[in-house]
Amino acid sequence: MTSITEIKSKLAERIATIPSLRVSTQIPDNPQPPVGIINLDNIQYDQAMAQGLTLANFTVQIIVARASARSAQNRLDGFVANSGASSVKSALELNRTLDGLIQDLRVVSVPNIGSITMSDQIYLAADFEVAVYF
Amino acid sequence: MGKFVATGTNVTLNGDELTSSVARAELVINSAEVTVTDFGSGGFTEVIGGLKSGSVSLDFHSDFGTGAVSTIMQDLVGTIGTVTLIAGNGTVASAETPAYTAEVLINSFTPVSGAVGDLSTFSVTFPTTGEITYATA
Repeated sequence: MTSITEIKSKLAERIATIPSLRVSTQIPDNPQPPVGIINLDNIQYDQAMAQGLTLANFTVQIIVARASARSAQNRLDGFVANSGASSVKSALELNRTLDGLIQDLRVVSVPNIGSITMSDQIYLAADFEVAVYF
Repeated sequence: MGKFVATGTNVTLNGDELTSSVARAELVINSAEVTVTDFGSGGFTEVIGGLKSGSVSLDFHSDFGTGAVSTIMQDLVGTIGTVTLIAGNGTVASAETPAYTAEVLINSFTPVSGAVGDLSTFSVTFPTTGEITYATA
């Protein structure tokens, strides 16, 4: 049975293919941006009989430093793009089964883009909703 | 066994286990209504049971993998297949998880289905042919 830990690890591998982007599967105390943080939001069991399909919704949060607002927004523009070397959607969906670990995945949306505060520091962040079927 | 939430209705088609690709399973057994109303019916209609019939409805998750449901269904349209449903989340027939077996006419298959962004699924409803059997062991 596929574990959530394995899925998070594989998602992290995919995010790490984006140049100059660190990845964490845990919420760091002091993020070193740019960094992607993978969080499990919720699980919807029993999408098929006998646990034949489970839906797990993840949020991949990309955090960039806001030392320069313009450069930070330019970096985020690349991360939220449909395609390109920095595209989170492209990085994840280029391997939709995570090497056969899952049935399928889809980067559904970016519901939040804006400033966040962590450890008294202000960062710019974008949240990606990722639906994983396994 | 008491009331239960359906999480594991066991489904096989021609001996192929399809349970993990099934999102909904339903077997309906009907009887025709034969009217026997006459002048002695006191102004009401009277009916008795006539011939029985049935149907099997299944919602599937599309999957074209080797031995997966979409692959299996590909060549079955127009044929008679054997469907077995084990109720009560059971995997073998028992008094509390009875197994229903029916011959069905596989009269449709939807190989391509789904809106953009949705999980690809398809639904079928097959009429039964012949007797629907019921086993508890």
